[in-house]
This record gives sequence, structure tokens and C-alpha cells, in this order.
Amino acid sequence: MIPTTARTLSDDMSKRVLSLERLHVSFFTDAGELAVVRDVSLSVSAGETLALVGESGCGKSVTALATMGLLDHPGRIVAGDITLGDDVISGFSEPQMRKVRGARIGMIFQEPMTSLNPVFTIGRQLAEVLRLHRGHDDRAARLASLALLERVRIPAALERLRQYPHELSGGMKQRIMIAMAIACEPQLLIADEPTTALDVTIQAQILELLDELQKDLGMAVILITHNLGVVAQYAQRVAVMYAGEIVEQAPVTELFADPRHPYTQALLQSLPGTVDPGRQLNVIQGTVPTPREFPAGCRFATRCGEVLSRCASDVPPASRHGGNHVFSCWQRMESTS
Amino acid sequence: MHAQDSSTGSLIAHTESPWRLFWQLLQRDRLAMAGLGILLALAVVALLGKATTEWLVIFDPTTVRLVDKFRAPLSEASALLPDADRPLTGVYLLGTDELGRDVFARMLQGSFVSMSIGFVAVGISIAVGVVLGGIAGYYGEVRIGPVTVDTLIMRFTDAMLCIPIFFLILVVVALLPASIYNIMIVIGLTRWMGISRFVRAEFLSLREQDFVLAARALGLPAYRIIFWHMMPNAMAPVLVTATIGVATAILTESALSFLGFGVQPPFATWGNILADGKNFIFDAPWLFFIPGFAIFVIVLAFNLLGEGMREALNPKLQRR
Amino acid sequence: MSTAALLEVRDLAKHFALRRGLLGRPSGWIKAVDGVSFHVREGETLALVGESGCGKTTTGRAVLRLIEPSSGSVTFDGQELLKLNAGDLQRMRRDIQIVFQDPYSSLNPRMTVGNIVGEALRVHGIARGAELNERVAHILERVGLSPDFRHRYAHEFSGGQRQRVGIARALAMAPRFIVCDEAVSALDVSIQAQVINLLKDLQDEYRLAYLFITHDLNVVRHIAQRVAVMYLGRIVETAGTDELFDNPRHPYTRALLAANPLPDPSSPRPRALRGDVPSPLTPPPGCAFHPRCAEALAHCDRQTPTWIQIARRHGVACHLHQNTSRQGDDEIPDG
Repeated sequence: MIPTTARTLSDDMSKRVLSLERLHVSFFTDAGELAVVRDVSLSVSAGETLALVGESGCGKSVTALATMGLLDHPGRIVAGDITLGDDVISGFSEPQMRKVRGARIGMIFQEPMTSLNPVFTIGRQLAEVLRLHRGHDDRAARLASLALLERVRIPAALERLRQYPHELSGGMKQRIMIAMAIACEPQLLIADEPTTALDVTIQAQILELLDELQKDLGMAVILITHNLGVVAQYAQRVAVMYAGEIVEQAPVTELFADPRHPYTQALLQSLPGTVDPGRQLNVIQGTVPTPREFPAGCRFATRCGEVLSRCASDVPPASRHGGNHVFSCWQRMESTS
Repeated sequence: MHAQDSSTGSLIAHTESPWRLFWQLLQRDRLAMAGLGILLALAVVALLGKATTEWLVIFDPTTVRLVDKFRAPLSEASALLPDADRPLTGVYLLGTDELGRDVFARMLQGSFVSMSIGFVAVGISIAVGVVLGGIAGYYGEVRIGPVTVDTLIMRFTDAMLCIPIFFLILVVVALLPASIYNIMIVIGLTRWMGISRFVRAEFLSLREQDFVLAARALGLPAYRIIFWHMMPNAMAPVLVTATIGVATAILTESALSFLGFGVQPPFATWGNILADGKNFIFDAPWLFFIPGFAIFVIVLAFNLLGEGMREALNPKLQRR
Repeated sequence: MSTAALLEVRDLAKHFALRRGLLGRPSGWIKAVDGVSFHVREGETLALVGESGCGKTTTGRAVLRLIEPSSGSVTFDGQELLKLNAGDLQRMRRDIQIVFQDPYSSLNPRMTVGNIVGEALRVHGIARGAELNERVAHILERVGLSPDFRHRYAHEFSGGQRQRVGIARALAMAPRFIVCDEAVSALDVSIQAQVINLLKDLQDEYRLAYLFITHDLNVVRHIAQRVAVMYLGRIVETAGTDELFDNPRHPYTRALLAANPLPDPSSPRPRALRGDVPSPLTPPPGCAFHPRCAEALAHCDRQTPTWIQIARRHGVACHLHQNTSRQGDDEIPDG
């Protein structure tokens, strides 16, 4: 069993846009160092959607913020490399990162309600992004804004430019956020729970739009979500995170058809709709440990139904199952080898 | 952002009541703790001052010593003085005024008066503000004739806010006997508007909170919902306002005294010591600077503590 | 299924006044709930499904009179709730409880878990002292919490544990009917499954009836016997759960089901419904859904569709099914 990193996972190295290599992020607090993200390796290629899925507190948002260089005190990257294209951006200074954010990496957030500044018109906020990153003058920015709004399928675009955020619905605001994120045609788009605050019919609209834009622009997309339905329908590959670690990574059909890690299996079985309504849902006992309570070995050891004696103390190495399927579990590693 | 919130949030100590948590956060703020320390010290001074100038007269603030007028701080008492009139150690710690009265004794007496004016006035304004704001917030929809209770109370509050308060106080004080109690009541009754608006706003948002709805769904009586469920959750910001309000009340009293409308002699307050001293600012600067400095320190201390409390109540620092 | 309804709601409406002028005259009305009828039987779960702003939460609260309804009737166990005076209402509220969505704002941050759960028992004089402690401990244990949690504050718990405290509070008064207002929507998947199981267990044990308000169709399928779909203040379709999922008749219901992403990569991709939910302030005339409806007929924008019972347990308000009516108009949704 060879330890596997992101490098061996990606099919086509030349198309790879982003890769994280053994990323560790810690929070430095009064109570000491807390390893909230441990040994995370992943990569995403142009035109590909990678879903980062996990429950709240699993470190998926921290991973995204680290990638954007937006980790705030007390968080810090303690080890690992983040490579965007040919640049190792984890070594970039803040002024260098500022040129990367918005231009080469776009990001959209969960709350379209609070992501837009309520006191400025939509037009002004869009124009600001364009002036900043593309050096447009007022007229060019205005024309480009109009084109962007049409691109994200906003009807009556000219009128929208004059409106304030509160005059728009949640779905409309999320479209504006997407317009801002793609304004500079980034190589990578990070969408952090982009539809969690939206209704299901609007969710479908937004995800459809993201899909279309990805095809047009050839972006790599990292879709962060807790919704396994969204993962199944919109991602090509999935990385499942638990307590700051990627426990399993696989192409989407394979992950849903043949999950290897006990956490992934339990998660899929706990979804309503997977069992007959008359029966009990399968549950994962207990709650997600807080970073202070993380076990030294496999972090799922405290809730796992198939725990071995070594699980609590030794970190399981990544093992392969078929071509692109990687997971970290002592129990499964032994049963497959 | 979810992940980060929950993971940083959980770093703050567990098994604590919300007030303990608040206290822990406040303790980390050095300036606020300094303010609290100064205030506690001043409170002790004020109580001792009350005891030693009125009940068991060790420092007599009223003795007039015409031979010892305008003595600088730390100067010794004149040998001509009868024994009964001599200050405790024979030294005027903070000097004497134009009638030869011991400034130290007067400051001691004044500290109790000034602080009690501050606290009682703010107590009155909290009581009025919380009751009116609470009624407006909880029973706002109830109608009296064509207008709602909320409209009635809040328009009255607005009207009060339109009046230049200091001049209102001057008018009232000019008409009423300027006793210390009248000053307390007048200051208290003219400073509740901020608190009532605050409490109303808190109540309006608390009314919609699910735990208040749950209390209603459990069929709990209204008084219990107001006093048990809503009030404690609305009080924290009120206390912050009140802390800073005490400083304002002390300043107001000083200003009134300075203009000659405050607490009248022979009662000493920091304000009227300062007011008396202004006539001799070049001949006897200590008469002016000592009460001025005392007022500065107490106002600063209250403000530091108030700001610290506001920070400690900041929901970003506190786990929900 | 022949037992009489425990809760019967008829033509319930809640119109919110908009921005009062100087003399308190409303300048407009928001018809948040506009003539809603349904019933729930003992031991049964009725899911009320719809998107945000459709009035499902307002309906749930109006049933409990946490919001005073503008008109209509709510009968519980044969008694008209909307005519009760304050005292009788408080007694009746022991039988009807609510569990909220947000496990954070639904618990008083300044009270211990024991006080939150036991308060109503004490205030209503049902239990006191040692007996109260024992009952609180028992309820906490029943919802899967350690009785030792009594002395701790809600902020010390995770979302799932807090939601259990909220359920314990609702259970304390031994109710017969619980409104679950998005009770599992804010929880993580693994925690959600635990709470759904708990709610079902409690239902079996105490013959509880649930009005289960949610937007999550996967949860509905698992927990409900019947479903009512709401759109812009009205119920557009009701049916038994399997019937509704297998044979949806209203175009909105179909769109809702089609937009729901299933956790199975081989299932068909969600289809998006065009447009936004219109503002309830200016609802479209006729059928409120017609601007987004792919199958709208010429008169859909003029005539409000009437209720049509297309099968014994399946009703719909849609012009497309006007001719398939089995029974007369204005039938109360039945199931």
C-alpha cells in the first residue's frame, strides 16, 4: 500500500488548475494549537467540478479560505503547498494574493444577503471589481457589467444596475455574486455552500447556471456543500471531509455506488429517502468532536462502528481502491489488501 | 465560514453561565479592569468619606479657619488655631479654601454626594426607561383610541429628546429648592430616553425570538415572559449604557454646581468645590485642579468600564 | 384512517397590515396565508411543504395562535381555538406544542436546560421540587440527553443536542399535537437522522400528531403520511405521501419534485423552474403560479382555480384538472 497524494490522483496533469499538497492548518489559541485541517491533498483540473462535502465544522470552509489566502488570526497554514497553475500561492505575500483573488480565483459564499454591500447599487459594485482587476474606465466597466449580468441570465440588466441589493431576491443576488466572481474569467471558482440559503427551485437554477458558465469558461470549480444530493448531481469528483481530514476521495458515481470509508458509508445511509419510510434511518452515533477533542489517530475513531485497536492512536494512510478512489481507513485497508 | 465559526467558538471555556462568560471576557480587558479597580477604590473612599465626615467626624469639612485661608496642599496648620479646629495630623493634605476649610475633608464628603447622585439618577432613569421601553416593546400593538401604546410612548420619548435637557434641568432647578434629592430626581427623569429606546428595540427583536414564542406556546403568563425571558436578555446592553450614564450624571451635577444651580452649601460636591475654586484659579490653583482631576478620573473610569463591557458583550467574541 | 381529525383548520387566513400611516391606517395588506384548510389525525404526520415566503411558517404559528389569524377556524379536539379566552387558551396550549428550526435562538441563553424543560411544569403547578426534577430527568433521558445536563446552559451544547432540548421542552407538557417548524432543517445530515428517528419514536410512543413544516422533500418522504404543498399563501395540492411523489398533479408540485437533487448520480438531473417566487404583496391575479407555469392555460391569469378532489385522498387547485373532478367544487382537502 503506497501513500497516495494528490499528484497521483489527477488524470491529466497538464490541465490541473489547483492542487493542495499535504495542507495543514492550525488555529493558535489561548488553549494551544488546534489542528483544524490535517494533511489535506486534493487537486482540480480545468472544466472539472470537485465537491468538498462534509458536515459543519469539518474544515471544508477553512480549506477554502486557506486556498484564497483569507485565513484570519488565529488560523495559519503550518505546512503544505497550494499550487495554482504554475505558482505556489501558499508562499505569496498579501499584495501578490490580492492580485490572485478575484482575478485568478473567484469565490461565492453562502449568504447572498450579506455578501453585497447594502448601500451601493449593483452597478457600482460590479464596476468596482472590473476597475480594480481589469483597469476598465467608467464607460468600459458599465458595458462590461451589462454583459456580465446578461451572462448570468439576469433579465432587464440595465435596470438592475441601478438597483440596490435589498430590491433583489436571494436567487438574483446570488447571480450577481456569480457575475462578480466570474468578471475576470478566473481559472478557479470556489463556491462555498452557494445554494444553502436558497429554495430548491432557485437552487436548481443557480447550479444549472454555474454548470453552463463552467462549460463556457473552462473553469475548475470547487463546490463546497453539505448536500449530498447536490454533490451527486453536479460534481464529477468528490472529497469527503470529516473533522479536518479528507477521509475519502473518488469520482462521484464510484463514491455513491461503492463508498469505502465507514464515515462515507454511514453518511449515505443516514439520508432520508434511502430507507423505507417505515424503518429507522441509520445514524452515526454521537456528535462531531470539537478540534480540542480530535483523536490522535483516525479522527472518526470515536464514532466508528468498526473501530480497530490501532485506530485511536495511528493515523491511517491513504490507500487506493481502483484507479481514482482513495480513502484512509485501517479496517478497509486490511480487508481489501 | 461555518466551519471556522464553530471551531473557534468552541475554544472558549465550557460549562459557564452567560454572566460568568461575560466576566471572563471582561477580565481580559486591562483598561476596563483598571476602570473597575478605580471605581471600587472610589466607592470605598466615598463610604469612608461619608463615615468620617458625618457620622464620626474625623475630617470636618465645615470648620472655618480664617487664619488658615488658601493654604497649599501639604502645608501645616497654623499654631494660632484652637486644638478643636486642627486637622487630624496637623497637615492640610489637599490645602484649604477661601474660608480655611479643609479641602481633603470637603473632597471626601463630596465623593459620596457626587457618586450617590450619579448612581441614584441613573437608577431612576433605568427604572423609567426600562418600564416605558418594555411596555412599548411588548404591548406595542395594543391600541388606546386611535393610536397604539407604542406610538404614544415613543412619540413622548421623541418629544423629550427634542428638549435641550440641560436647560430643562436649569429651569426645574431654578423653580425647585436645590436639594440633593431634587437634583438626583431631575437628572434621572431627564435621561431615560436613550434607555427606553434601547429596551424597546431589544424587546421588539426578542419578541420574535423563538424562545419567547416557545414560552408563549407553553402558556406561560405575560409577566413571566417579560421579566424572566426577555428582561435578562435585554439588560446587558442597558447596563453598559447605565455605566456610561453614571459618568454623564456626575458631569451634569458638576456643571449645575459650577453654574450655581447644583447642590447648595454647606453640602460639598466635587462640582461645587470646583465652582468655588474657579474664582481663585490663579491664587489657589489646587482648589480648581483637585476636584477637576477627581471628576476626570471617575468619568474616565466609568467610560473605560462601560466600553469594556460593551466589548465583552460583543456577540462575535461570545459564543452564542 | 376513519378516526376523526384531531386538528381541523378551515379557511385560515392571516393578512399582515403594511406600513401604517399617521393615523394607523394600513397602506396595504400582505396575504401571507390566504384561505388554508387541512386536518391532522391523531398519531399522524401531515407535512406542509413549500418554498420560503409561501406562508407555511405563518400557518403553523397561526394554528397555535402565536400569531392571531385574521379569519378562519381552527378546531382542536372539537374545540374552536380561535374563540378561546386567554385562560382557556393557556390550558389548551398544553396539548399543542411547537419545535423550532433554529436550535440557537429557540433556547433562552440565560436559563439552564433543566429550567427550560421544567419551567412550564412548575409555572402551571403540575410538578414541584423532587417530582419536578424527576420528570425533567426522565424527559431528558427520553430525548437521548443525560439527566446531568440539567444544570448546564444551552450554549454548551451542539446544534443537535440543543434541538433535543427543544423537543424535550415541547414534550414536557405531554402534548397531543406538535408543530415541527423546519425542526430538522438546520441540522447536519448525521444529526438530522438522529432527530428524525427520535421524532418518529416519540410519535409511536405517545400517539403524537405532527404538522411537519419543511422545504426538504427527502425528509417529507421519510416522515409524513400526507403532504400539503403551499404556494404563495394557498395550498395547491394535498395527497398521501407516496401518491404525491409518484403522481403529482399540480405543475408546481411537479416542478418542486423535479428540482430536488437526489443523492444518486444516476438519477435524472434536477430541472430548474423558471423565475422567482412573486412577492406576496402583489400576488399575480388568477392562479398565483401562472407566471412560472409551463402548462398555463389562457384563463389561468384571470380565474382563481377552485379546489378539485381528483381522488379520495388527492386534491389539487389547478385549471388543468378542472375536467377530471370527481366531486363538486370547494371540497375540503381530504386525505
